[in-house]
Amino acid sequence: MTRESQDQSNTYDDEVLNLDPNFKYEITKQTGGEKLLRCLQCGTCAGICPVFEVDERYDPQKIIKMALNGMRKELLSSELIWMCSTCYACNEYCPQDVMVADLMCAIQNIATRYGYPAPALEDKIQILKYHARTLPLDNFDNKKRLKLKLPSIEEKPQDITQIIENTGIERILENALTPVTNEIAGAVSEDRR
Amino acid sequence: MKYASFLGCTLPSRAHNYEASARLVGNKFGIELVDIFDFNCCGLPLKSAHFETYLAIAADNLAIAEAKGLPLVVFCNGCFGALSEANEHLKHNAKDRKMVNELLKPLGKEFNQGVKIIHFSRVLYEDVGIQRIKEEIVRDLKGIRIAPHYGCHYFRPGEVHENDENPKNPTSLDMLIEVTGATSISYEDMLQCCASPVLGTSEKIAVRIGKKKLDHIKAAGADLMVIHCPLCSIMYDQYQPTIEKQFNVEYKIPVLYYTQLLGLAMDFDPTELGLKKNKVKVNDLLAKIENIS
Amino acid sequence: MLNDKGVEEEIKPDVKIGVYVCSCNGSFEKSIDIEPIIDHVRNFPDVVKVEHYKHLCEEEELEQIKEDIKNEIVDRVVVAGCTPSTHEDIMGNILEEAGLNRYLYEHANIREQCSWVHSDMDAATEKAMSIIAMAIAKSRLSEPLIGTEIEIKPNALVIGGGIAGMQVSLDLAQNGFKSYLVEREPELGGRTYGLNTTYPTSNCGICCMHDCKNCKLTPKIEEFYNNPNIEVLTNSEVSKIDGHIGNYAAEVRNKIGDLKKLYVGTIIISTGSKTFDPNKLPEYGYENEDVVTILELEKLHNFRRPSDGKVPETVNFILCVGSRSEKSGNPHCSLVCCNFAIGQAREIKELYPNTNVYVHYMDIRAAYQGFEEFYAEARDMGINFVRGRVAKVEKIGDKLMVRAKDMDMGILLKIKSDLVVLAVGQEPVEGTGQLAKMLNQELDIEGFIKNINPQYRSFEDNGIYSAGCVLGPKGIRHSIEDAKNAAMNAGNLLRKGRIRLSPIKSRVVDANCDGCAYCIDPCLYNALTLIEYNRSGAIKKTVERNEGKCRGCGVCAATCPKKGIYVSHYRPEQISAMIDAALEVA
Repeated sequence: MTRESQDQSNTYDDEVLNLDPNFKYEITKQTGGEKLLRCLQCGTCAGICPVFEVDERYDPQKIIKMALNGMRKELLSSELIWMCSTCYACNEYCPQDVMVADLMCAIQNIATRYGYPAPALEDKIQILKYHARTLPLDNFDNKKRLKLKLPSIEEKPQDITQIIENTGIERILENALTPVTNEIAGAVSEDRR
Repeated sequence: MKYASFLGCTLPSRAHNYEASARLVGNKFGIELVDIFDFNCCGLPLKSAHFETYLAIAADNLAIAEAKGLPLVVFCNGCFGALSEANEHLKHNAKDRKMVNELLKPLGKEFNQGVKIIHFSRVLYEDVGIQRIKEEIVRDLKGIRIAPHYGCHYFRPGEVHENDENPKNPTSLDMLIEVTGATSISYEDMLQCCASPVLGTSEKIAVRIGKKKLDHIKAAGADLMVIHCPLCSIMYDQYQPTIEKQFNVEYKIPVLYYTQLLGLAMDFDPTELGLKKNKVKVNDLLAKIENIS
Repeated sequence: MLNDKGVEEEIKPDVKIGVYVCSCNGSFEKSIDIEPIIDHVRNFPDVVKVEHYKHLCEEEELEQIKEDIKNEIVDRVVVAGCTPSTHEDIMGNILEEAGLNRYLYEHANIREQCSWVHSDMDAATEKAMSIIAMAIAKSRLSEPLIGTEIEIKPNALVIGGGIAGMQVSLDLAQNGFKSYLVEREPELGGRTYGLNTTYPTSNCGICCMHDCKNCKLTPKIEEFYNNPNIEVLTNSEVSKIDGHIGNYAAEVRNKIGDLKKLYVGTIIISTGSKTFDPNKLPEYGYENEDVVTILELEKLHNFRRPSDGKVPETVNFILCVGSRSEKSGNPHCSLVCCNFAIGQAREIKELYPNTNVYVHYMDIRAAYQGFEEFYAEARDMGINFVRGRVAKVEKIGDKLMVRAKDMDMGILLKIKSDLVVLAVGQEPVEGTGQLAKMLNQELDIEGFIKNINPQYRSFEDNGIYSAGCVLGPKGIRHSIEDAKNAAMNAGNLLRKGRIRLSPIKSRVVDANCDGCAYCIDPCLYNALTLIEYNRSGAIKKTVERNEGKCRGCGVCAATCPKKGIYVSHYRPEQISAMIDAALEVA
């Protein structure tokens, strides 16, 4: 959706944009992206989308079209993919059962692997890893809880720390900073980046 | 009626009013909430970054509930959706089930059959039942006009929730509201999202979405809005003054958790129901309720 | 071979087999090595001639086979090549033209069953060799067969009295054949009869089936009641059908319970389709009075709103309601709704030029002569065509809010509308499946009667034809075309008076049959009955086969543990020889 590389031109040149015909298959292999190719481009997803309603730059139907066109870098680097409110209205109303919200999640996962993570993802991971919750709990919170006769809660992050260390999510973030060969995308797409 | 109680992230620190009111009304109906302090975040915050990590964190919680042999009661729509989806996904996807179980094994946990996951409002609706709730209503809220906000993950996507809610036309919250004697009103785009998840990436977009709903509710002439999710509360209660200021409008629409509303109809003390913690002031509303009959 | 006493007799065939391998214009040679096969087959016993042709479809090469037969070089023919579905009949005719019984022909399919599906040349060549060896083994034991001739009752049963069924009866009547037209509803004409206007011709629905030059602007249903060749049975349903081509017995029951038995030579199914129920899509707000289907719009007086009778200022048409949707409707395109909705939009615009008319579409399917021009004119009239499927219709006050993306603009439209019209698609009507089962008709994946591409040669004719929307969604014109086609096929059958059945039928070997009746239930065509007769003073149980009903499918032979029933042309010893041949090569 950013068009700096296009010199104000409306032409999407395969050479300049590195259209990647395999991008769509990369998405269909990612959980949630399986039904991408069923899209009829009818626009129902955008029609029902609360985000599109207030800002037409976020257009799920257009995002799907970009994915189908193979506009890999443009899509993965776009901040717009993070505007999805995950309300699942598109999933529910899509006549082709493309599972658009899940598809968006698949694209976000791929973007994260390629060094375009969600804003503040690293902080979020650290808080979860060491506090077990996105909002840390301290004595002050427990005092307030007590006032409403709520039991006090202690942070127990040992298990979640291990899980986060073992799933490799942190390594994905570290490695993505320097381009690595990715197990799914293969070398061709990697070279084009 | 015994449930493993899953609080998630937001409830313990930001929604004491919800938790307190739920415990109060639940107690009255014999809902036994077993506090399990080993529960962590549901995993949703990492779903968009790394699906496998999300699954593993969700499965960690699900495995704890499974070992306890209790249905899992959830208060937050976000947690409800995330846990339900992971539960369904892991039940049907052997490869990912193996993947998470390898991660859970060193922690002495295992995801096998999955668990029954139920939202607290569905506990009231299904397990307690409208009839039983009616018996405990001592203060008829007749004449109070309430705009229900279901919150997306309470009913969408339809496939992951094991209940009879129609994902294009849910009705349970309306029925829960009407049993108090109040009127559940419909308004434009009633099933639209609160957009709290967008606050982190674009506050500008999120509040514009939040504003739309407040506009529709105001146009419909509601006395208050009823929600049952702490994330929806962030947008409509916490952010309401911000939206009013930013767009130079006035709403002053009280936003109550359903359990707070029910608590009022059951004549619990407003302070015990945590109503002082609601950001949008509820004094006028309480006075109006006081004047009924 | 099993003789009449059921005893195995070794037969020593004295046959001259010609094997003709066709490589389909050389296309098989990518995956099959033909030459080694030719060399190998040449040594087979009784094979007197082996030839490799590049295109056996060609007259010259077929002539060569004919010559070989006429010159008595060969008296059995095996062709290895494409599929028997397309070529078995053609080759059978060649044999007959050369004076040989057509059942002395064997077909080895090395295309669909080998060359097209394998890439390993060695393995494919070996498999092709097996397939050919099996055909040769079967051919060696094949015998001339001739089918029984039966009489065709000179009348027809037409099930369903909509536009298609009416046209079938009318065409049959014009050709002098009597038909019984059975209709479930009290009136003939079906959905078409309710239509005031059809497009792009703008004439009434029922007229379409007549020559418009003579149209006196009246529906001509009376004609059916007065036509001596058409007996109309309204308020009636077919409850039972028995019999076979040329001789079907049908029971027709009317609403008051009267039973009528009909004996006919052929049956035409024209039970139609139904329109999609928009209640299945709650997002389109069909529960509101001012949301109507295209069929309901027809009935609205001057297109005024149902709720208050006002002239609508804004009308939104939504296309593809229940069509082109995997999730909440049918995957197919219903073909007629675009054009019908455009016609209605034009009428509204003509009547009320100030009314704002929107048509929300995914793709406009105006693919027929005159339809594109009709659509272009609609745009000229100022109708707004908006690309994008409507997401939601919501009642706000006394208006309906239509929410849709305008895909060409990339913006969200929220249009306050007075009237919303849903262009509902078509889907199979209840009972189609039951009727299909009763008549042994195949259904397609969506539950319509399977519409076999007329490009392909039809399989064995069973005297049952279908026409109209029971075969899939379509408009009046195409239903009538279907009907004319079905009436022609049925008429051709009736005109013959007598036909010869296929000789490929099951045969009971009374000596082996002990009347265990295992074969009776599995028979899909109810062709078998258990009977008893007196044999030398004792009661002997056996099975009787109805030659007309039997389709020679072989299920009975596969079920029988005692060699008590087999299918001619596929005798057990032929099958055994084929298996042996397959194992030998392997």
